Amino acid sequence: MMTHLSTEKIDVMTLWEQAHHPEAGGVVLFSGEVRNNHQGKEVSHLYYEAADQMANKMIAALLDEAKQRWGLQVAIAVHRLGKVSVMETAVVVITAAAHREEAYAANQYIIDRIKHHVPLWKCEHFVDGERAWGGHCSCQQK
Amino acid sequence: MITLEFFAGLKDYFPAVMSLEEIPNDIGSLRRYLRGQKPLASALLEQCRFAVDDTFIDEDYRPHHGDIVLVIPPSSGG
Repeated sequence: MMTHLSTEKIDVMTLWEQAHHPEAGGVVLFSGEVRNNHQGKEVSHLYYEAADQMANKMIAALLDEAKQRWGLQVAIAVHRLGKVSVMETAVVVITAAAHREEAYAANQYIIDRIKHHVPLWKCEHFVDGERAWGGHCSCQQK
Repeated sequence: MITLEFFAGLKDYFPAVMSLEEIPNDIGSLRRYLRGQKPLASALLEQCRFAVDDTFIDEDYRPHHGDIVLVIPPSSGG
């Protein structure tokens, strides 16, 4: 079962309801959503694919690692596959910890690792009919 | 024989799944072979990582008969 990958629309609120814990005072939710533009070009939609089994395993291992490292009570990550429309969630990461500092740090770590290390790829489809694989995220432009 | 699986932009150059009867000596040799097959994909192949059994492998990994080798372009999730 691909717990961390979904070909269906991600139900962020259902995941959020699973993220609460009596020992967690800070819960951080990051939703990566599809923008309607990239470098001045109008984006129609994104298409995601993955090396499914490997990506799922890597995300599971990443969540375990983050839980250990930051003492998280809850760590959730789900990435969408297939066609994703503008304003829809492409990836969600939720982290719950005793305090906000750990929850924020772990959340940032998880999303950065998903973007740069997990075998997942986006193809940007533009309104003018062109498409391009592998749009870089903003952190690679800094 | 080994099986190669290609993803994302690599599928503009290679089929999603391809068999290689002759097993390359190592991943470096495989990379060179693929570059030779599709010179236009050279820049992308240079950036690729390879994996077997859902684990990234080094350049000196020696493929075995029956291996399914994933050819993995730079990640761009999120």
